[in-house]
Amino acid sequence: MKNVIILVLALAVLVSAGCAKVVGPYYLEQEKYEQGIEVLGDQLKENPDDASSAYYVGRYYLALNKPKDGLSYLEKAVKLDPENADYVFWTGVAHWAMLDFEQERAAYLKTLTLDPDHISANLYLGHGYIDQGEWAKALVQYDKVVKLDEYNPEALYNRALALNGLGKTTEEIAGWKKFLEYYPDGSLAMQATEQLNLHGDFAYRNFILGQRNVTLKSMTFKPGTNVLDADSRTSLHVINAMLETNKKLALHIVAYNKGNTAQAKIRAKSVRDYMLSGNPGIDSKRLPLSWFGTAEQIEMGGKSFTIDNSVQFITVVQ
Amino acid sequence: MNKRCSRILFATLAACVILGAYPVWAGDNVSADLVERARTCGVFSGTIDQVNSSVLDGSLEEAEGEKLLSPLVAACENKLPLAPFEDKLAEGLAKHIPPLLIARALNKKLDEYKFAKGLLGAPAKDADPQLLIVLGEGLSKGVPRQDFEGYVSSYGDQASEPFLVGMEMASLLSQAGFDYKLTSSILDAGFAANSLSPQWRYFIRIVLVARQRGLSDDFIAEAAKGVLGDGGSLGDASTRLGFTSRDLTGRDISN
Repeated sequence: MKNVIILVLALAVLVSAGCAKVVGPYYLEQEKYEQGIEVLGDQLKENPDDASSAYYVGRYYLALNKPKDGLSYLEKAVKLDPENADYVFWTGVAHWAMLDFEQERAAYLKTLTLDPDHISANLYLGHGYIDQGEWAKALVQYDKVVKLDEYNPEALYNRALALNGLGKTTEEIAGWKKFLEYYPDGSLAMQATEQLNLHGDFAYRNFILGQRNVTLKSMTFKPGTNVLDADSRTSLHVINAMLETNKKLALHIVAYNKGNTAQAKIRAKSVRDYMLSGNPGIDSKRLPLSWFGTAEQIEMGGKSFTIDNSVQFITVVQ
Repeated sequence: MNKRCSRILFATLAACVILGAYPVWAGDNVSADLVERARTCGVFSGTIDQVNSSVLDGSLEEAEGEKLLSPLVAACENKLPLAPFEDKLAEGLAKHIPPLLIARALNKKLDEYKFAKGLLGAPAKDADPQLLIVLGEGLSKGVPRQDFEGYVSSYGDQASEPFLVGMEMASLLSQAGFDYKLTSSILDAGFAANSLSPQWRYFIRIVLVARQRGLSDDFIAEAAKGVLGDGGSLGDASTRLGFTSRDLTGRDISN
């Protein structure tokens, strides 16, 4: 309680001393937007030329999903400090929220004249191009973002999407794999995997395990052996964690090997053995095996694919 | 701290001392009993003073002032959130709306909030003001009562935070004419996967952009169900529908 009082007093002193640049981020980070509007709104009334206060009040309104209110403050901030790239950038976001895509783009372009390396402006300018199907322009922006911020998930994902739009399939596949290498979980990973699979590349696959859709790296084995490689083992750790959490979950392990039924059987068993080793909590009855001496057939997006060697996981219907 | 900051700080502290000791408005012109009830209950003093001063300067009749203040007193005594009423009154006076129309709007709002409180079924003191505001404001913006009744009946046993998010989501979708059956199917997926994070309350924006791009509400709902079922974000829903999204909070933005 004492700390809270000290914090409130410190904020009060900073606000009263006109230090919006210091207290402004606090309300954003704490998601106390209404409180921020009240405090910095008062500050702005006292100092109508304080661009920083206007900017933060605009940001709070935007975060509250009130872009019209936010825009008026952000525009005031820009008027007071026209060289501030962040101020201009956020007017673009407000325009997007108001579905005014032309003004949005203009704001990002203006931002980039002030700061060519502004990551978010490059990213959102690219997004605008993607939405309009301007793939080549989008790609330029995303390449710039990735140069500035190597692991930016939105840039990596949409870069691959732009390459798809441009019909550059080889680079697109590499793009999806790069995204999946850094971000192998979640909804975007699933969509990236779908896109990858539609090109006949099944390095990653989406599996329905119980109630969940999960993206996993496909099972592969060390060359000339039936020993799982490191990436495959990592995928099996994910499945094991799900089996540990959900005691009712049971999975068929189904191996395919075109022209070699015996090897398919060995590989199915190899996968199960790895999953059971060191996991006494998992009963082998929850992992029934199947094997086929044929290629796996996959229907997807109106296309038909075959994989000569694969391992599938199918939820056992109780 | 620089000289300017010190001066402002001193002025602010001095103002606090002065304001703290400032006497209440001296000459109430609206019924003294009503004003007393308003003040005792906790209606914002600035609102009471605004009505009083309007009566004092002749821009409002005394009876009009009482008609404006009465719904606020009733809202306060029913333990309803007061800010929406105070804001509505201030807005009406600022726009020079005839006082009787403002009073009518305030009374309608009062009815809606009372309905909202009854719907939540909690004792007045326990009703979450945020929930009441979402319900009350949704109703005043045209959300059919049966949509909210359906929502509370279906999801009343959910945890409070996702319950609030879902309610706001449903309210905004309904205001945009999104079929409640579709909304309900999306909410089912979100609650089942425990994935209704706060950002989903503004799913409406995705709907508006998607409609602008010619996508049907059915298609949008299917995409949302899929994303929520996978525990995805609002941005993921945009991506699944084939367009991009922006983060209005700046939490996920680099720079």
